[in-house]
Amino acid sequence: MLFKTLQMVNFRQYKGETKIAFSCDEEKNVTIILGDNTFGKTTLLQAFNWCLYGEALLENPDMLLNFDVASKLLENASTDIEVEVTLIHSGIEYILTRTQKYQKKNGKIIGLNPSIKVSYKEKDGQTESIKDTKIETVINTILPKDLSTYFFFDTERVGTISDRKDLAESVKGLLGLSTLDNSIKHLGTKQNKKTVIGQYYSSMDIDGDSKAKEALNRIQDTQTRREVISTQLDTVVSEINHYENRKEQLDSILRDNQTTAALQKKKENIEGLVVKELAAQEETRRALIADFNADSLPFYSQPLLKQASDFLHEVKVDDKGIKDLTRPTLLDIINRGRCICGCELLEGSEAVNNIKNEMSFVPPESIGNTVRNYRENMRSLGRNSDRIFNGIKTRYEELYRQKVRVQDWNDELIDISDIIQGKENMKRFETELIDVKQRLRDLNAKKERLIREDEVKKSDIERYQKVYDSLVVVSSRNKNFMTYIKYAEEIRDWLIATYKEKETCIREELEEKVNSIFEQMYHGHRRVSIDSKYQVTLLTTIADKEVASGESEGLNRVKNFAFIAGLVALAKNKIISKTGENEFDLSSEPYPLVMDAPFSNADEIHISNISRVLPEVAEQVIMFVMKKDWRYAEPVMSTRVGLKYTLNKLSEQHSVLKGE
Amino acid sequence: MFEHDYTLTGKHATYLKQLAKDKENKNRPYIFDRYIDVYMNAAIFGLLYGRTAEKDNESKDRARVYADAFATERENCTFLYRLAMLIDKTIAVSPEERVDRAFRDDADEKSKDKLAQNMGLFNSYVLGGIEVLYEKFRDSLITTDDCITCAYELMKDFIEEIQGISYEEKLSELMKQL
Repeated sequence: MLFKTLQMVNFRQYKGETKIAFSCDEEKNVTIILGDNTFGKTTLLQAFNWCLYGEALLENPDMLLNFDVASKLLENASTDIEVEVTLIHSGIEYILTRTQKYQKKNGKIIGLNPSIKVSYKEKDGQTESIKDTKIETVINTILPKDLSTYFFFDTERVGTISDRKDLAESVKGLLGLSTLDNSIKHLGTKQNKKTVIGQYYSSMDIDGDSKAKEALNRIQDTQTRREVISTQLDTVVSEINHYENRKEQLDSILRDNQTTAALQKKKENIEGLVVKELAAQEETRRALIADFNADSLPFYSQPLLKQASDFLHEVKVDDKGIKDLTRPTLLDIINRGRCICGCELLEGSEAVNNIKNEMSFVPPESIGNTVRNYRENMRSLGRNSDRIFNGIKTRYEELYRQKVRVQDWNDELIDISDIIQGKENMKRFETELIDVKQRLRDLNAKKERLIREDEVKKSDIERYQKVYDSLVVVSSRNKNFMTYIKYAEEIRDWLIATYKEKETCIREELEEKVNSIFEQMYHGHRRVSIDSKYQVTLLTTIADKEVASGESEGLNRVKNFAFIAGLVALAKNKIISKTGENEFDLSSEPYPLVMDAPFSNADEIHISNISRVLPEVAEQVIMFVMKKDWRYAEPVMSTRVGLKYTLNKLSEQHSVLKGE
Repeated sequence: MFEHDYTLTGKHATYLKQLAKDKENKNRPYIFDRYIDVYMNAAIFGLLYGRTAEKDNESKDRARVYADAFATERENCTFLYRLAMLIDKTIAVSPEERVDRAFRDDADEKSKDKLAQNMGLFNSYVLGGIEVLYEKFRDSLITTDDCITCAYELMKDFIEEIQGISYEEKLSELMKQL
C-alpha cells in the first residue's frame, strides 16, 4: 500500500486547501516534511488518522475547523472541513474523503457528525463508490485500525501505544494470514449457519431420510401384499373358470335329460309313498295282531259258551232259586210262623217243608247266583263274535289293499327304473348345480374384493412412491451436501493446519526481523520478544537468563520502531506457504510508514541507524522531521528522498506547506 | 286258584315261546303278545279240539307264566276254568258233580284236593291247546304276514264252521260267483 496524496480543507491550522503528494518511487521512497515544533507536523499525521478512522489524537479533537474560518463564520452559517487521502492498495487506487460540517449557532461553533466516502478507480479509469456499510471493513483491510498507531507513528506520544492491545488479528492481516483466516472462518462450522459448512448442514433434510426409509418399507410391505393378492386372484380366477365350465356341463346335462329328471322326480315321489305305505302297513299289522290278541278269547270261546250254557240250562242250577233270596230270609219266615202270603206256618206242615226245600236252592247252599253271573258273562262274550271277525277282516283287507298299492308302486318303480336305467342321477346334478352356483357367487364376490383391495394397495404404493421420490431427491441432495461438507471440512482442516504452521512461522520470522532491525538501531545487548498477541517485550540477559527489562522512553521508541519496521519489512516480502505438496501464495501487501518526529530524543547514531533502516524495510516512508534532527539524517537518507516539503507557520492558526 | 307261577316244560315251553312275542328279538314273527295270552287261548283250543296233554319232559326247555300275569287276568282265567269244568266229559261224572267242579270246589275249603285235580285237568287242556295252536301256526311263523294270514284264515274258517256253512255250500257259493 502506498499513500499517493493527502489533501486537507480548513483542517486545523491548514487553512484553505492544502495538498501533499507523496513519493511513490521504489528507490526514492521517502517523503520528508520539515517543520519545527507547533508548525503542524502532528496535525498532518492525525489528518491521516481522522480521514481513515474518524479519530484525531489532538488536543480539543472536537474542533477540527480552522480557527480563522470559524471565527469568521456567521450565525447559522456552516462550513465543511475535509481530508482526502489517495492511496494505492493491491494495485487499486482508493480515494478516501472524510468531511465534517461545522455550524455556528448562538455564537457557538458546533461540529456535526463527520461522514466518509470511499471510492476506487477501476482499471479502466471508471470510479466506483464503496457502499457506506462496507467502508469500515475496506479501510480495516487496507490498514487495520489497531495498527494505526504504528503506521502513523507519533514518536513523541509513544506512550499512547503502550497499552497492551491484542494485535494478533491486525498483524495477521498485514502478513497475509487473513486470507487463510478468512477462508477458515468462511468455511466455518456446522453450528454457525452463516458459514459455508453451516449452510450446507442446515440445507440438509435429516428428517427426510427416515421418512424415505419408512415410505420404502411401506412400499415393500404393500408390494408384498399385492403379490399375495395377485396369487389369490389367480387361484380365484382359475377356480371361477373351473366352476363356470362345470356349470355349463351341468346345465347341458340337465337340459338334455329333462324327461329323465321328471321321471326321476316321479320315482322319488313314489318311493316316498312306498315308504309311507310300508309304515302304514306295519301299523295295520300291529293293530291286527293287537285286535287278535284282544278278541281271540271271546271269539274262539263261542261254541264252548254255547255248550256250557246248554249244559247249565239242562241241569237247571240257575232256575231254582228266587233271586236275592237267602237261607236266613227263609228261616226268618218259618220262625215268624206266618208266610208273607198270610198262610200260617206250622212245624211239619207242607208249607214249611217246601220252604226248607227251597233253602237248598238259595245261598249259601246254592250256587245259582254264581252261575247266573257266569251266564251273564258268557252272554256278553257271545254277542261280539261277528263284530270281532268283521274288525279283524277289515284290518286284514286293509292290509291287503296296502300290499297291493305297494306292489303297484313297486311295479311302476321298476318300469321307471327300466326307462332311466343307465342314465345319470339328475338329482345329484341339480344339487351340484346349486352348489356350483353358490360357489361362483362366493368366488366372484371374493374376486371383486381382491381387485378392490389391490386397487387400494396400488394407489397406496403410488402415494408412498411419491413421498419416497420426493424424499429421495432430498436424500440425494443430502448426500451431495454431506460430500460438500466433507470437502469443506477437509479444506478447512487443511487451512487450519497451514494457518497454525504459518502463524508460528510468521511470528518467528517477525521476531527475527524485529530483532535484526532492533540490533541495527540499538547498540546494546538487548533482545526483543514477540508474544502470541504480537506484543513486543524487551529482554535483557542476566546470568544467561533472559528477563524482561525496564524500558526507557528512548528504548521504548526504538523497540516500537523496530517492531513496525520489522512488520512492514516482513509484509514487503512475499510470503509463500507450503503445506505438503500444495503451495499457495500468502500474498501480503507492502506498507508505508508515516512518522512524526522519528528522531526526537535520539542521538546521532540512532538517527543515522534509523535513517538507514527505514527506507530499506518500508515500501514508503513519510516523515515529519524537525530541521535540527534532519541534519543527522540527511547524510544517510538523502539519496532515498523523493519529495521534500517545508512547513511554514504564518500564525498560530495558519500553517502553509511548501514543496522544495 | 291262579295264585302261583305256572311252569311249562319240554315242547310246550318251546311252543309257547314260539307263539308269543320275543322281548329280546322283536322282529321275530309272533301270534300272541304275552305268555298268558297263549295260556288262555290254549285253554280254549284244548277244549275246542277236545285235546289234553300231559307235561312234557323230553327237553329241558322251560317257560314260566308268572303269578303277576295270572293276577292281571284272574277274571278271564277263572272264567275259562269254570268253562272247562262245565264242558269236560273226559272224566265220567254226574252233571251235579260237574257243576260242583265248576262252581263249588274252588270256594270250599274242604274240596282242596278236588280243586288240585280240577286244575290238573284244566292245565292238561292248556297243554293240549298249545299243541293245537302250534300245529296251526307252525308253518306261518316265518313272517308276520304269514302269521296274520294264518290267524285270519283260522278265524274265517272258524266263524264259517260255527255258522254251519259246509264245504259244499262254500264250493257252490264259489261256483255261483264264477
